[in-house]
Amino acid sequence: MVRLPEIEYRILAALEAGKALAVAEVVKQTGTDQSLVMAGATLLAQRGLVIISEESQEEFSLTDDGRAAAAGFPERKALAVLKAAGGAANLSELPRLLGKDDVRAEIKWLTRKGWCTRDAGVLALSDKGEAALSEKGADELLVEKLVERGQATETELAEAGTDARVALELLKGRNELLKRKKRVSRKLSLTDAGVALKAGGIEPAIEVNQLTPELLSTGRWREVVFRKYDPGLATSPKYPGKEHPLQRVIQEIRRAFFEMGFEEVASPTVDTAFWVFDALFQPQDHPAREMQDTFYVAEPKYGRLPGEADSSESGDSPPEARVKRSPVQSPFSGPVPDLVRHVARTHEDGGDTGSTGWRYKWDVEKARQLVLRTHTTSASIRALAANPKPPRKVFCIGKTFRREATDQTHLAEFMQIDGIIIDEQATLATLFGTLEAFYKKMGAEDVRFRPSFFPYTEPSAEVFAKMGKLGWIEMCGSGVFRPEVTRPLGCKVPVLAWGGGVERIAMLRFGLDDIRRLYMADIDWLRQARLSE
Amino acid sequence: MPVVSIATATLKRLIGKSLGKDELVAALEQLGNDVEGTASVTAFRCNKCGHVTEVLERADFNNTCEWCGSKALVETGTSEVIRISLLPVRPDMFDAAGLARALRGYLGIETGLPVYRIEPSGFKVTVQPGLESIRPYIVACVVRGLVMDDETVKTVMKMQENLHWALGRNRRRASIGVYDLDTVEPDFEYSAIAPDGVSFVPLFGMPIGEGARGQGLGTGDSEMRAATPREILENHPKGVGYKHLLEKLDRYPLLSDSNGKVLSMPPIINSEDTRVTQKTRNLFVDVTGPDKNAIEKTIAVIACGLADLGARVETVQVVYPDGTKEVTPNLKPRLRTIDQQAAERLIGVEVPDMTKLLERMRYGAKSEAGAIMLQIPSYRADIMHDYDVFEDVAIAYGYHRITPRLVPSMTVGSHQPIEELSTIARRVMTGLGFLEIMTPALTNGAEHYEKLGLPVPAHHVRLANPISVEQTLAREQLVTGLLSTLRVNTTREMPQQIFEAGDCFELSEEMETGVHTRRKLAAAIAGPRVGYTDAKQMLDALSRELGLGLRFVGMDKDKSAPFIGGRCAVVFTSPAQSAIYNLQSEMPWGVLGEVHPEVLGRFGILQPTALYEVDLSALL
Repeated sequence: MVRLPEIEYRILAALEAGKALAVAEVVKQTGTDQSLVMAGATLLAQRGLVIISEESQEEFSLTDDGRAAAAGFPERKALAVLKAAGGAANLSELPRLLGKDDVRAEIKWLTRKGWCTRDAGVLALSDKGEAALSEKGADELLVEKLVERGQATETELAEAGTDARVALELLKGRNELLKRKKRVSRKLSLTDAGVALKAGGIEPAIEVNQLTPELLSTGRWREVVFRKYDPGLATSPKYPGKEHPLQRVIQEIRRAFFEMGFEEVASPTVDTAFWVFDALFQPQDHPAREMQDTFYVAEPKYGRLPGEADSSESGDSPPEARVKRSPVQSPFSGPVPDLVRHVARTHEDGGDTGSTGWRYKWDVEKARQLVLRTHTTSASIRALAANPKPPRKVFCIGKTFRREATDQTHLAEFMQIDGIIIDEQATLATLFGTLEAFYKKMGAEDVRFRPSFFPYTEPSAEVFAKMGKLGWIEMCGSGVFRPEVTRPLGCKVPVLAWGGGVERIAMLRFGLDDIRRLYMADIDWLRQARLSE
Repeated sequence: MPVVSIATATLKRLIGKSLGKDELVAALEQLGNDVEGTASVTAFRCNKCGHVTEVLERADFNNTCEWCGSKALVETGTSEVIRISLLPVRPDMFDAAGLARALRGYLGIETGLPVYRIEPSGFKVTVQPGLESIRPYIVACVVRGLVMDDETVKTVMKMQENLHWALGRNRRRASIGVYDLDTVEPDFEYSAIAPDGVSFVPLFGMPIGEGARGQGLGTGDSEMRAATPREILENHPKGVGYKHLLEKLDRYPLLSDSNGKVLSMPPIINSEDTRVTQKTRNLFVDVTGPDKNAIEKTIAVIACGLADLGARVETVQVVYPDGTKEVTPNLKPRLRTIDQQAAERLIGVEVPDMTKLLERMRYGAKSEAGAIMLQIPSYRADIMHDYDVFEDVAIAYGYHRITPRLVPSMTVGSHQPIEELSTIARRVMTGLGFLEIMTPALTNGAEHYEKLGLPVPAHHVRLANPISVEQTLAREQLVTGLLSTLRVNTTREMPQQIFEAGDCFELSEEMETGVHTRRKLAAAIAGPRVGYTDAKQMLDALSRELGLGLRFVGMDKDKSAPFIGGRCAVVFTSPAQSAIYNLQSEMPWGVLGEVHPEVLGRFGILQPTALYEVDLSALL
């Protein structure tokens, strides 16, 4: 005994060996609907138990003219009129008798069907015509059938007792009455395997959509059949929680740095001009330091320089109280610490760095001013000052700011990477080698260098990377720190440095044309930004 | 950086060798120039002032002289230009003559130190006492034999403008005056004058009416009348523009000739009477400023540039009040000795033909026992250190010929603890199905505080020079960013789950910068049926994964913003249950709750929303 899903069981039960059954008939016998029967039959066919055969037949239905004709063919009316007129009438009298001017159709069909003879202008009822008075023709019966059924194929008409072939012969030349179209009709029949299965005995099983704890605990899952799914069926989309596309680029960059032996450092976002500019040998009247280009902080206004003592009392007060204390609004006044003095002298006359310096009077108050850092090079420079002993590799990724109006391609804030290498073997050649390895880790096929000029590196190079279908992209600025930068911090070996933005890489990669969309994200974009590219 | 248009034909003529366009661009780039591309420009000469305006996009041109604002323009032709972004460190390469000089060397057409023959003019400038604390120094030269056609006039004006930008720090450090020598009577006097001590007709006269101020010279109508320095600072467009350079002084600098005729009031304006026109044949040039070094470099760049255009440059003697006499300009090369091996060590390759390379960069160079004696051209304003020369060696050698290699030293990488902690937090939140967002750190009081129902605090990290009213302060929390993001996504499918891990800023006197940077983490969930439980579930999941014990304390109803009173809490870390962190005492760590309908309304959010925010950096 084989247990089958209910519909499959019913279909098999309806079919007999060696006899094809129309689907409509199976539907009727199984007492279900067409879609269930077809779904079941398809599954049975897949298992080789049933064959679904298709037959294409012409299907007839009535046109508007056809439906009008069902009320009575013109020749049938004329036949009755002729009979009433005594079985014959002069052709010229016909319009009057029939009450219409154009009687050509009546004459044509009366004579064609042999219901009348026509002789010397007289139309006379024939024997066949007499017989027809009490018996409808096959064509008339067909039209009646179609009025009743709407549409039918030849086979269906035959089954309903109408010989369609005779009727169609009669209707030749009356195409305006009938519509014809192709109809596929399916029949189901048992294969040998189906016959054998049925012979072995079949019974219906309960079909379930969902396995339930109850089915599991009772063990009844053994008695049921699980409804099958169409495995490719479309489902509503689900998205995993994901890191922001920009974050993914940042993490990739971090990984590249770690793999190359770099230590990660951090430094204040709000920092003194000393660390952002002065320690980088940017003169105090440099255009980049102007209010035009750099965000200065009004509150707090000044910070302490390296080596300057903390003027606030030591912290035994609770953390909240410490945090909320009023900010520094006037510059610290006290002795200028050594490191600061070195930097100052380098600006003024080069100090002991071998440089001519910028030859101006350096102002300590300007160095204490707080700014929003314009690059993360301040982090590198703080790390260098903290420990200038080679070999060291250091990097930082963080938020930086430029005083720019926001538009499609500019933001006042953006993420920047900065890396340095403090090494006896630091040279332009090892700078190029490091950057080549770094950007190849980031997916570049090739890396190129071009001379450039940056305020605190000498020599300097612009770095371009060939990134697959994106082509050549300007990646970062790079160079060897000027001795005016490294010497005052106590560093005696060359220091390689490079820095660049992250947003543009993310935009190119994720096909964004408006940088603002990174920082005010469309959730659908976040949902859809793929993890692998 | 400003972009300069160099006429391709002129540049090629000055190079003196036929070069394809690509070859030319490649050579310029190998010298470190940032070439923006080539373009075709149309030149228009102003009938009023003689200035030539060059136009890239004719369709956008409003037919107005860029210098004086006149509409009386005559089209003088179209030419091809190369557009180059100016390198502030190389003012000697701002014009065609300077670029040609560098390219001729780089391409090997003419190498070594360019020599400029310079004769004395016999003229002198006497510096009167009283300028010491105003604008003490002046240098000057005479330039003869230039044909002042449109292109030359344009070149001289551009040179002046670009040098003001690069070396002059917008005229503060150096300001240049160029005059028609034949309109004045040498010798000259540089003196300090009272604000009403003299009057002269400034360049293009004085404007008539209010509308004329501020923009270009004579944008409106002007009249050729004399005015005092005070009046010029008040009403002349250039006076208004550069007033800040003299404002605090009680006397202003003035340059005049032997008849007392005014040449200029540095660094503001020249006189109309000495204006350079197409008829000018001989020029008098001066540079003034508080920094001798800067003005000497500036005049050297001008003198060499004009000499390369075919002019004869003559010196002028400057006599200072203490009797010091100086002959300017000084175009003698500066001397420097560099160590060949030091250069090779920096570049990382052996450079056997270093003197040849230096000569191609237009140095005079002689090798002597491993050292190279250099003559540095006077126009090279950028050579401060041996490294500047080493860079030129590298450029001449060719960056593309340097074989990249890695430093051989072994170093050990390491992570910032706060980044590691953030990574764990991100892993928890993405694991819970949350999408990460990143929002701006700059915001404003209305958005950051008032929309949440909080007063703007008396003290917060505030910008001195915001660029817009939207960005005036540095954020203290991430809640505003979450709610703003939900607002722009109201039409997207619900529920929405987002989080951010980002830096926030708090005043803190104990920090050397007065600001404490805190890495905060915040998450929000919005959708039908969202409530306090959702926020607590997220926070419980986070604290569990972090190994942190929390205590939840309800907020007072009147202090619950931005949450609904009774459906929110302050969360405290409990040191006893947080053994992996070195926490001293119980401390407030964050907040959570259901966002108040009024707050949601202010943001335009139509879904119930719950959120939490905590301070990750407090754990370290």
